[in-house]
Amino acid sequence: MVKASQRKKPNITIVSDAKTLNELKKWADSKGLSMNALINEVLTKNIFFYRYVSEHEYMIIPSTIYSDMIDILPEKTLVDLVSRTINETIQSIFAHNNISYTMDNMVKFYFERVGLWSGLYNIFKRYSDMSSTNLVFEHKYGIKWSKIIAQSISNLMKDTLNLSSEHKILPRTVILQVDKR
Amino acid sequence: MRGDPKFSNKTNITISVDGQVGDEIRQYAEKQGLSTNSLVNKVLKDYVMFGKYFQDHIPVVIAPQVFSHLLEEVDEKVWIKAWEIALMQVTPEVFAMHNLEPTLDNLVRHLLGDIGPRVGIFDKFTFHENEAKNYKLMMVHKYGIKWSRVLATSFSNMFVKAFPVKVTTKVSTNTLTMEIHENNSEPYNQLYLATP
Repeated sequence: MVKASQRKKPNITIVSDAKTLNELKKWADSKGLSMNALINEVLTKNIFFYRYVSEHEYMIIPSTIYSDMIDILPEKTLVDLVSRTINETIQSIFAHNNISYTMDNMVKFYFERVGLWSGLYNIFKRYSDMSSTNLVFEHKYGIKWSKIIAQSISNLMKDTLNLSSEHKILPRTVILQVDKR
Repeated sequence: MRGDPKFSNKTNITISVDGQVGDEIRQYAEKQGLSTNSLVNKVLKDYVMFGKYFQDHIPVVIAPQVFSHLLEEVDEKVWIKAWEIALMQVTPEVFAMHNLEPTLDNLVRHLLGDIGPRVGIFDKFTFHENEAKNYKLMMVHKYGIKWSRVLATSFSNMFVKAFPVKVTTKVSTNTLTMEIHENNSEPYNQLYLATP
């Protein structure tokens, strides 16, 4: 038995119903995770995202409907809406969790979590070279959405970190090359 | 659930939680007036109900002001068509995922009662069922009369396509009421809710 003072991670003991735990076990197995890892993932997602979604009464809509809206609305309108939403979300989540505005935190707390969980894109990757940080976003909504994502995140980089960026746009991928200071 | 056997259905599980997440969970539970156990259970049950679906389908989470803007800018007919298509895709998948029979009762209780308020398409949902298996549903939301009409038309069409029922709706600014009556003279479209 490990002493409390030696533990890196505190334990929580819960009493749950067998049906819920069985379902979680099945999903943990299918993802190749331990139950502990899956429950940590679920709790992290709740604390950093779904709590915020619930408190601010956000709406969760099927991607087919969102796809229709992207086709219909003008690109400029969507850039304004997405930029505003990203900015407000980041400000609120960063303030609530006392997170400072750095590129590393932006990646860790927004791009790898909230942005991904919000459905703005499906896959996010980051890699760096000497002069820039490259952010790669993959999504399923076509070239118009690539332009919207590129513009909105460029705006975000400028507004929050005062960093300039250039972007490359493909139908399902955006590569944003953000200058290092 | 109240009435369930007390011990045979419950299991103790100890999890090792990342430091910040553990602290946040405890604080959030306290703020909500819940025990840590209750909050963690609620989060895990919600995940079982939605998590896998969200993981597979990646829906989009949007702020209320953005949704209001989209609602205002896009034609009502387009909204209705989009919701009808989405319901036709989502409903059988939800039933299959939770191993539910595609019955009217399950549609009312699970799709509208459990899922509707959680995804924010309305804030409050109540329903009454009488002995003749007729339903009276009420949905309250904050998006105005256009949204009431979109919900009324798309849900009515879903019920009528899926079951031998007649539906009457009444809409006002932030409320939609819907009465569903059995209508056995109509054919039952079993394909509508068939497992995908």
